[in-house]
Amino acid sequence: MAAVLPGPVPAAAGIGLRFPHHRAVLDERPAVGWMEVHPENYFGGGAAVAALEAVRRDWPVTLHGVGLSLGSAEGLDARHLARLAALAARIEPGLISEHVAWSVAGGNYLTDLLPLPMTEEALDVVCRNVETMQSALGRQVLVENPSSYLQFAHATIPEWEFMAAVAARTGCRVLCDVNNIAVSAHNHGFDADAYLRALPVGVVGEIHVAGHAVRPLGDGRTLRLDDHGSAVSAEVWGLLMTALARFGPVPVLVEWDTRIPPLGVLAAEAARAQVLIEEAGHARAA
Amino acid sequence: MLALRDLQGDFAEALRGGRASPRLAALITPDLARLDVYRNTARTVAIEALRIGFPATEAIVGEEFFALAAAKFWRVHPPREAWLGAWGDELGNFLGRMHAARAVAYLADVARFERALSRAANAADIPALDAASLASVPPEQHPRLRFTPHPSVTLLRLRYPADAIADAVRAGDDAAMAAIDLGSGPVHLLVHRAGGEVVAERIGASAWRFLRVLFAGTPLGEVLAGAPARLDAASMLAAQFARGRLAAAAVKERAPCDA
Amino acid sequence: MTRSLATATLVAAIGLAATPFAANAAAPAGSEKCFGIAAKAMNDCAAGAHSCAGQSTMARDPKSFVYLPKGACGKIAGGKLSAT
Repeated sequence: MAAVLPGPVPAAAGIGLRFPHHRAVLDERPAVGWMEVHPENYFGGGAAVAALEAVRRDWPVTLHGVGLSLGSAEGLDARHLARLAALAARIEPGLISEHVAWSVAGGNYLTDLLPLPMTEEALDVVCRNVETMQSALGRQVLVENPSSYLQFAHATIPEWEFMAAVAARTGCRVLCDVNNIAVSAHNHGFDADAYLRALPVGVVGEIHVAGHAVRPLGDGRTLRLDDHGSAVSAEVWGLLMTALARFGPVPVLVEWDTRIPPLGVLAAEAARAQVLIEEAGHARAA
Repeated sequence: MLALRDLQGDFAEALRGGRASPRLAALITPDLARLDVYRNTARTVAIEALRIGFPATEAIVGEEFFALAAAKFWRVHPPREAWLGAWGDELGNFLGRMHAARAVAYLADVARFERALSRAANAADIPALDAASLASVPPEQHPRLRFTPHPSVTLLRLRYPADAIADAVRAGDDAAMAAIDLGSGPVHLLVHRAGGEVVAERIGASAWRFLRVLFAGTPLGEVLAGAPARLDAASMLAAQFARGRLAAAAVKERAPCDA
Repeated sequence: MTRSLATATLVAAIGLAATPFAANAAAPAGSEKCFGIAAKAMNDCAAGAHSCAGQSTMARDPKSFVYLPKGACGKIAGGKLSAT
């Protein structure tokens, strides 16, 4: 039973493993470096966890949380943390990450990743919660920059500074989602490249890419929606190249959550990311 | 300045169908309509999670009605934790009280049944109690033994044959649906997960009562004293061991009542 | 009396549990059915954040007034579609 599991997460392209692909992944054995799952889907037992354990025997796996609510002023749900810790002990993930967002208020889970006001108070709350998470798990975690559709008038900290400050204060690393940057930069009118330049080199331990949707707002403008429901856009591939050039080769994940395509399509997107990671590696070595 | 805790409380209220408070609305830029993106997403995700957990219930009433009922349920009984697999225990009773669902008398029972299936599928992987491990319990302690059921176990007593209805509806089997006798009397069901499979078993009324008392953590002596003489209690108990439906046995502390 | 009953029952049950008999003794009333419950990814939905809200910029509230159910309920014997 004490089989040796695949080692740490390589600086290679991975895919988000969703339930429709549990079987296909084991049958087709796609040539991807690692896989990422949402731990909340495996908080129980039974077939789901058994499938994840089967995958884990052959690939490094990362846990990317969607419900811990690091931005909740009321603190973290101890049951949630305990379940996450138990799953981590069972799966031995290479990386564990969560979002800089909130989804719990008054003890109710609000089924979305909700926006935080970028204030000193929110920064204190997120840092306190990240520290709680890291001590409960006994390891360093990564936190992901959010995508958002609105902002708060009393915000005082640019988002990129907020992200850097969380990492600096808590010792966590940053999961840089370049699709989220593309979405939020468009929705709020800031410069995506400047965002990347503002994140300290060395702090970024993982990058996400995904597709997003564009919806008309009715006033001639558009809103970008982070629906993870299409191929990665040319602009986001460009941001990935910029990010890899700045942060160096790190694990890159292709996320696809809506209208999930056949596994082959996902693997092809990952292969494209893999080429960019290797090019960034060669450029550094040269 | 609005404290984060208050901002989140107001935001949550606006999200779940209320209005954005003036103090929250004053802070949101570029305009309040952006809140709709979050409101619609939160509601849609909640409805979707219930659709995944209650496919037969949805098929019985149709997509539109189910979405209406699910949205109402979400407002009244929001998930209390981010693990959505734990959500939905109250949906059966909720549908049973919902005026618009009264035309489908068996709907609540089907939801109760589907929730039991989900609980069984999602229950923690806890090893079953090995009967042989009890051989060392001294005989004088036997009457005081209390059993804890496996977390995948649910006992249901339903007025309508919800297992047959769910099965026929999920299979889209018109003939099976037409053959269902809604007046066939209550069904006694034992749902659990065995060897990775979710199993729903119809049992007799006296077996059901015996197991309800047993799974409630009642001391074995009382369980047996209350059992009808014609019930083969040793076989019943043996079956619970063999099927992995018991998780623990203890002499003193009160077992958690789960059934 | 209670003690001897408990002991007799438990000892018999422990013995029976180890035999093939026990696997069949569970269904005195007969029918047992395996339900192929696909593992459920309820949280993936919340994961792609805006993934499940195809029309999330539009206010799309489910109707607040009463619709009559119109799924498979009419196909079930005795099922009714009109409120009584």
